[in-house]
Amino acid sequence: MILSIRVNGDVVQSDVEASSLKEKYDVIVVGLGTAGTFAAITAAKKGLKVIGIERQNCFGGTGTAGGVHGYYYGSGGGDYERIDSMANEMQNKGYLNAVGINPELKKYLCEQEAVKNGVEICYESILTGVYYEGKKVTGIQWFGKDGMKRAAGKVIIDCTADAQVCSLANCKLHSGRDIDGQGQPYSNIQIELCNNEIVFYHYTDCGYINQQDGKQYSDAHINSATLPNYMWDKYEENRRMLCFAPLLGFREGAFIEGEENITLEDYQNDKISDKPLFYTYSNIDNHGKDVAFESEVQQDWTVAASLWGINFSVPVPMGALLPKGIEGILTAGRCIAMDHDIAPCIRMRRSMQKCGEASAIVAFVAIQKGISLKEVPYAELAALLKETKCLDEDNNVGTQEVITHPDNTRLFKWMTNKEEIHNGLSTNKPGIAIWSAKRLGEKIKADLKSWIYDNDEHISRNSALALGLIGDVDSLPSLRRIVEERDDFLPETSRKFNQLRAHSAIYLIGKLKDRESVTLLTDIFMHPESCPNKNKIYNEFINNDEEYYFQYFSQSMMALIKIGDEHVDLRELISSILKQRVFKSEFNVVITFKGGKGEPYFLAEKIRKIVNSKVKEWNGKKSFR
Amino acid sequence: MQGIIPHYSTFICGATATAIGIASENIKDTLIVERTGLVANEFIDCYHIGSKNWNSVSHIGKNLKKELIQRNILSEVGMVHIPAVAPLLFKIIKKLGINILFITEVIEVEKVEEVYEITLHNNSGFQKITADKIIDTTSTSTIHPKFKQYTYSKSINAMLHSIEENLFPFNNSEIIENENVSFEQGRFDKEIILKYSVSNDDDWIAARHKLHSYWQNRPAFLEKWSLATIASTFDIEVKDKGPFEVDYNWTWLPSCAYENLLKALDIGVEYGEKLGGGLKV
Repeated sequence: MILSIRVNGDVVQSDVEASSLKEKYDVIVVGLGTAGTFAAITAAKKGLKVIGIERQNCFGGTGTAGGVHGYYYGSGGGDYERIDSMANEMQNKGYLNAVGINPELKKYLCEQEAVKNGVEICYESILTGVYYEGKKVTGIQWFGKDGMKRAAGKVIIDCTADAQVCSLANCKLHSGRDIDGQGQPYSNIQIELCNNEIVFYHYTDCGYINQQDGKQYSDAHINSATLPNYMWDKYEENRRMLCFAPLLGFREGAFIEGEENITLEDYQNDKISDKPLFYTYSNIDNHGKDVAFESEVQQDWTVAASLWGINFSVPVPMGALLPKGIEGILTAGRCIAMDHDIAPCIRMRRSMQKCGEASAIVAFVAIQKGISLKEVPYAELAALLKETKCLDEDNNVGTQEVITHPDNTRLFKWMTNKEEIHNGLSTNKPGIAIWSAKRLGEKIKADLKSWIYDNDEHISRNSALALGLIGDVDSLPSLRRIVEERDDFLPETSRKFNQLRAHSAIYLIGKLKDRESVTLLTDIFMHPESCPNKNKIYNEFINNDEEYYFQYFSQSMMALIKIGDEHVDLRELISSILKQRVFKSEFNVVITFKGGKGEPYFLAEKIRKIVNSKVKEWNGKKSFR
Repeated sequence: MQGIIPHYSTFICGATATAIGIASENIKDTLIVERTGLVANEFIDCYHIGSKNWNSVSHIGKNLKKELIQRNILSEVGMVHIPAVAPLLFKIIKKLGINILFITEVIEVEKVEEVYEITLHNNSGFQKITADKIIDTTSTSTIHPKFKQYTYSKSINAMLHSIEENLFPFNNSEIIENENVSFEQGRFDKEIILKYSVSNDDDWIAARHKLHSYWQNRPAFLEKWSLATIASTFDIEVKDKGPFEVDYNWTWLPSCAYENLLKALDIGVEYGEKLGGGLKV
């Protein structure tokens, strides 16, 4: 048997005797957070012998220790609703009203539920090692109040959020976006008593770190706690601090490579599972403003069509909880097998609570039948999950437009009727029509090429965006014109984070690798004064004039890079342009994080790395197309 | 694998008020390790307000007091809104460049010749450091069992809130009915701290259950109060102030023993000054 531990960041493995694992459990749940709470409770309710290991001294994770008491989308159904109802009822008996679910009551009730069902709870304990034999995970080692302990488990459920068990068990992992590995920003929540209520929402996004690096994780506590947002000038009786949340709010970390993998591209192409354990529901809640550095799959959705705010449901299959090729282990939580692009839609707490519940049911059926996790029959899973409505077909809502957040929504299907698409393109909310046109592709190209010449500016220009999204170069003259005119029409497709039409057009020019646009893009890239915020457009995505220009800058930079990728003969010129701009000593780019007092985020170093990496790549490839 | 093992003159267990004080006098040579992500848990996170005597003798303490008053966290008569001290302590840590590793456990301490070799664990995994001396400032002598039974009392505290004014103090007779319970006024009129005594052996499950059970059956004089939040650190009282010798150059100096956060910080500064002067303590 192998014991796998981490030493100074590296995984180190050693041979150990199998007999050293004397304590034996049916299920070991590592992490009693959002998913782990319901993994442990559900497994125990099914009569399994369960132990739960948790670093904090409470259940609930982000929703309790993490200070995020309210829900952001996700859908109803699942055992968590029972606990939430109990918490809401108990709150009326002498507890201060909390926005969301009262965290003290949620902690307590989850704990009591776990105790009642016989979960052995190890608080203030940390995972320190994983045991495995061949391709099967067999147990864990942990450190707590009573020192180093170890135990065997028939099934280990990794609810650490960052796949820490999996990372020690030779599972394949991936993280972040392709260009620089960046995920989502983290937040530090300061819980307040505000106007006789417990609130948490005056928080800010604080930065990006690699939380697998112990020093970075540590420093994040200091750096976030000292942001201006948390340094109040004055504390008053009607608004005062209760505490910093003991758990920092990480939205994204590592993902496993699963037996099945959920990707945004698959979702967009209707390649979704017909054997879900549960449905998730949200928008692509990307908190970042440097969207130009995201994948084309994501930008097609959020930049070209401004669909950031469109909610949709995603079925999560069992295979997404199973690390590929490894037995004896499941994941539950935000580290399941999905890509960075779709993760912001799937990671919501309602969904992750269901994920925990579902993982326990998978474990239960496997243990009961004496079969491997992969062999668990779907029909039996589905029947069990439907008992608590963890799996509920009513949650398979497809796509929804949010008219006002959070509850005023409109269900819609992608348009297939050309007249409907034409009408949609004529409005100030063209995104659904643009995407519908993309889905039709060839079938609507001819119409779009004709509509580009329409006298109505919206029909003409939005048709150009749609045609560009389909990949047709006939859109380019119109796209260039949109950019030349710095068309700052801001659609209202999404409730926020819509993209200016010029920004969408620049993105599409890059996607189409238009060599004719190099001069146009260079002018934008080199000269901030060429893109004045004439109509004073400010919103949550564009906090100030610098951020207004940043979208022009970053999109034109990426467009130039894509053109250089395609056209080898332009690489020297484009390299020179890029270097000339970003390697000037006074070059700096500052954008702000969402929320708070607009905490600054300095991007110069990141941008230089991207440029450097691309220039090196081009220099290394001497062959011509 | 680890190449050179970092060495510190002083290793401090617990990012307590005392720890910050000690480290402020010996910044380069000191490492503080804290298992949580919070500072001065022994006062802040457990809602231990302490005495109203917020007079400080150290430079760092005086500045902190001034800022606390400016921000209305501390009144002139020593009433403190204890949670709000946290951001300012983080600010001190950042400004001075104090070396701290949060979310880091001490796994093992071994004496190796003249130094201590300390094994830590955090998200980077196991790592070793060495130190000439160890100061454990935690409330329960976390890293050595020698003083684990030194806890005098333990409570789980909660912050209560009322919408009405002038509901506190309570009659003594009302409180005496339950000897496990006591109350303290916070900074603001509508804020009091409930201290519920638990057994030293009570874990979080038992303690939370006792508190919630009490609260759901609370006496009439508490009817107009709501429970806002419960501390996530136990409030520990120890029998005596330190320092206590654990081993050669290994001291237990519980920060919670001092009358309030500012006093604990001052003690740390004083202790740190002695360390910096090379005096054996």
